[in-house]
Amino acid sequence: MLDLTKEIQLEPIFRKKYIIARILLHVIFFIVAFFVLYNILFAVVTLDFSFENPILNKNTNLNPHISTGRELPKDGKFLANETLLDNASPIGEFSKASVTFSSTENNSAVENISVTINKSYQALRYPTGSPLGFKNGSLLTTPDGSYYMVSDGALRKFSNTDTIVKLGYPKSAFLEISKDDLKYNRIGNEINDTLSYPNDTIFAIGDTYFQLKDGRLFPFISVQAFLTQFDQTIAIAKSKDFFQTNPVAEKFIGFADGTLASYDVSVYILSKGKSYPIMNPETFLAMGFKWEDIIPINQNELGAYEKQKQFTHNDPHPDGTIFFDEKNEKYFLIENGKKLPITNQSIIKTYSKQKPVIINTEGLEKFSSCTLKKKLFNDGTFTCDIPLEDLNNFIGNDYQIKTTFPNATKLSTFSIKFSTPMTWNSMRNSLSKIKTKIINRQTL
Amino acid sequence: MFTRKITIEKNSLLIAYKLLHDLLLLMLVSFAGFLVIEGLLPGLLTSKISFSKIVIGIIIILASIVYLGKNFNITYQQAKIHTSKMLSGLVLFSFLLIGNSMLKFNFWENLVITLATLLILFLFYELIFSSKNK
Repeated sequence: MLDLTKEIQLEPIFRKKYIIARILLHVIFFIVAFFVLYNILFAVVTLDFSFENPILNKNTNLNPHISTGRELPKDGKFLANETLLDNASPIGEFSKASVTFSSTENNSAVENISVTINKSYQALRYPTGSPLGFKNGSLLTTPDGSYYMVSDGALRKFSNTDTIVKLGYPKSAFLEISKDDLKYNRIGNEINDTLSYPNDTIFAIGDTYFQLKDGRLFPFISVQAFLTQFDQTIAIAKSKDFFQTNPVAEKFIGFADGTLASYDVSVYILSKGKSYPIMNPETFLAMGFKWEDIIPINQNELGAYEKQKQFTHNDPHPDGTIFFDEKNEKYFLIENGKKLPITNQSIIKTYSKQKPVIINTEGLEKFSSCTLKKKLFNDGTFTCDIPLEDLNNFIGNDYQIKTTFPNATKLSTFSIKFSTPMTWNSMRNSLSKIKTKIINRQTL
Repeated sequence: MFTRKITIEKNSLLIAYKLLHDLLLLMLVSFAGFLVIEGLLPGLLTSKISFSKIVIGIIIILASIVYLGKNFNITYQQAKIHTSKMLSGLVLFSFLLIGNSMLKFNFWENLVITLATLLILFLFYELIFSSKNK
């Protein structure tokens, strides 16, 4: 064995002790190295919450809440038939979730109750809103020869084709739809004034595109930003004289909400005038985004957005995100805490420039469960293990844990531990993911 | 009995001194390995282990070695770093680590950074070793 201190000679008895101690040191070192490797290859994520100290820094579980919307009780007292929900978004693929509750009162209320878990994306759990209509600024035509424009959310019919010609709307920009498709937008006033334009009309003046709102022209921050929302053909070409009747607004219009943009080495989600830097590549992939959907932008374009705190895997997809359920061929748009179904193929075409996140709505309906049992030698603690293999096929990074207490009870702590078993399969999966991350990092 | 106690204590401290060297080698080899892994996959290890704790641990071991060494009046010959066999290995390792972190820069930026770094290293080398040679 390599001896770094050869010049220090020990007496035979002590030399023997040194050799034994050295072997022990190496054994302990390899045990520690094994433990570190185990934590890397077989990920374990534990999320804890204390009902008695809900704002404690140590609480790694950030999202337990009551289904009725009642504020989480500070003393941990739950009413009868109250349902506790929790959303956890650990990164990784897990085979088991161990759920543990500790109770200080009425322990029988916790024993033998069922805990269920399902997997999807947080934003997909939003309540379903009304089906989405055509986008503002859309130009539409029906088989009966009628022409429409969507302005301020309302469908406005052009009184006649002369109006269209005099106002200068390009006929090629009108999207052919069926009469039935019109029902998704409320009906607005007819367009018969040839001297003024309805809101949301698009103009091209010089190299810049503008959208009209309340008599003012809002410029798009760049051509690239414009093209994430509309086609070039939709714009009415005007000269700079047009500014005399319609002054330019100071505020810029940016990219379509939900756009993934890169600047320097960071990737951002752009939504509602705000930019959210994505924490790391793992978060990016966990949220279902694709590298090829990223648009490189410049400092000016990014500067138009208000920079927010980092977007982590615990955050829901922001407004403007479009989800596509491949199996059922359904689209959803996330907007203001709701998921709005896009039920019509023609309407989808007006949002086609935005790349959807692929989802699987089946995940919302498929549950795994377990029954809480008293922990050995610990009267007040109840635990059970929920297998997650069946849920691994569903797309999403958010696990929702749900349990209903049939009787009133007082809870002290709640913890969920996501773990992976030490099997060859898990190890191969982990090594494969590490290899993919290295390749991704070198090619980005 | 008293003398025997002193002998046992002295030998125990010597054993501790030798073990500290073994531990130092293990920590340094581990640290080098961690740097390589972090270079390839940032965040893989730092999310589990704090690098600052490893560095503090190494410093504590070194301090203990120095303290015990002084107690036993153990001295070392000054190492001739520029003729050491390890130097070329260390330089290559450093270049690989630094090079990996420079992959994001373009060719000209890399060239400027490399030349500037080499110049600074050369100046340091002259500063440290030429004064000893005089």
